[in-house]
Amino acid sequence: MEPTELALNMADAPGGELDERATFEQLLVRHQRLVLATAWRLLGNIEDAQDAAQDVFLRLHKYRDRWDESRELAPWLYRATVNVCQDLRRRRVEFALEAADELSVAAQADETLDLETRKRLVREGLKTLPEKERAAVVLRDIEGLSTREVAEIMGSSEVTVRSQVCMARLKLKKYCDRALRRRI
Amino acid sequence: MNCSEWEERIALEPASAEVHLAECAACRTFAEELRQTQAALEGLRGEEPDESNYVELRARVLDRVSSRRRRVWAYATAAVLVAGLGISALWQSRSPEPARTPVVARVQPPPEPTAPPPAVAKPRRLRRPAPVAVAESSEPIVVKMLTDDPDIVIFWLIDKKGD
Repeated sequence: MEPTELALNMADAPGGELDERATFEQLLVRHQRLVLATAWRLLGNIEDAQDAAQDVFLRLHKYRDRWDESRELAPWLYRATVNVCQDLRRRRVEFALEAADELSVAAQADETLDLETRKRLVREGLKTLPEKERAAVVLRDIEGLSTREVAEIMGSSEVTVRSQVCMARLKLKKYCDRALRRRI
Repeated sequence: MNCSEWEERIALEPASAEVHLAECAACRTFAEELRQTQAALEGLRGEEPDESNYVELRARVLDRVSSRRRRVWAYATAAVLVAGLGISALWQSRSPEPARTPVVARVQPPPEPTAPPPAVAKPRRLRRPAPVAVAESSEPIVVKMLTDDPDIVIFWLIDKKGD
């Protein structure tokens, strides 16, 4: 997890509005990767990820006065990103239909399934996972957070997170296997 | 524990299944495929959105923050204006009515008697003038009468009843 010292007390920034804007922009630059990349992995496309990341940062700006500097910002940002992405995904009815595209890799002529192809399969497979399993595996295996951190972010127990990660890995493997079988 | 149960264990903690993997070919195949999938999954960690996406995100967020701030200022200004108008209206409704300018009437002195008065006729009874409608007000009407003598001024206060 990216260590983050929260310095959100922008209201106290000297110089008023311009300094507050500059402070918030610094905050954006510092955390944009965390929010946008996570949203991208959870949603599967950059346009929706932009919308989600924008929403997360606007929430951050809205509640900026309620933060104290002793709190780390990263867990809050991860939690907000996961929640916003879940909301956004529920609104996107067509999202599940994108998975129909899943086996396009089958048409490839390569005999071996190289890493890039497998990564593409995994990306597509992520879209087919239930929300909580996808969030758990993205945070645990891609973002590299510990099980405890993921549990805190998702508001569940470590046992639950372990189970979700386990199920997600098995489903992703199965997804890749099905793609392979179609090629044969 | 059957192989299906081992698969779950391998998916969670591969190291804890080493003994079983050494003696089960099916699970070894499963573990190898899972390892490849896991490598691909962790390989996604290195994939990042293009820098242009970050630039666009910052522009969008800062633009929304600015417009939100403008909106807040507009609402605050409107609220202050409305409050000011309200206070002004309240102040006017409570302040006393402006002082009435006294009605000034000049009293002519009686004419000098030059001739003996004629025979006194039966004095006609003066009709009492019809009461003038006085505006609904608790304030009496002030009539100021000036005489030829500048030191004598007559003030006549007329109350609501016309007395």
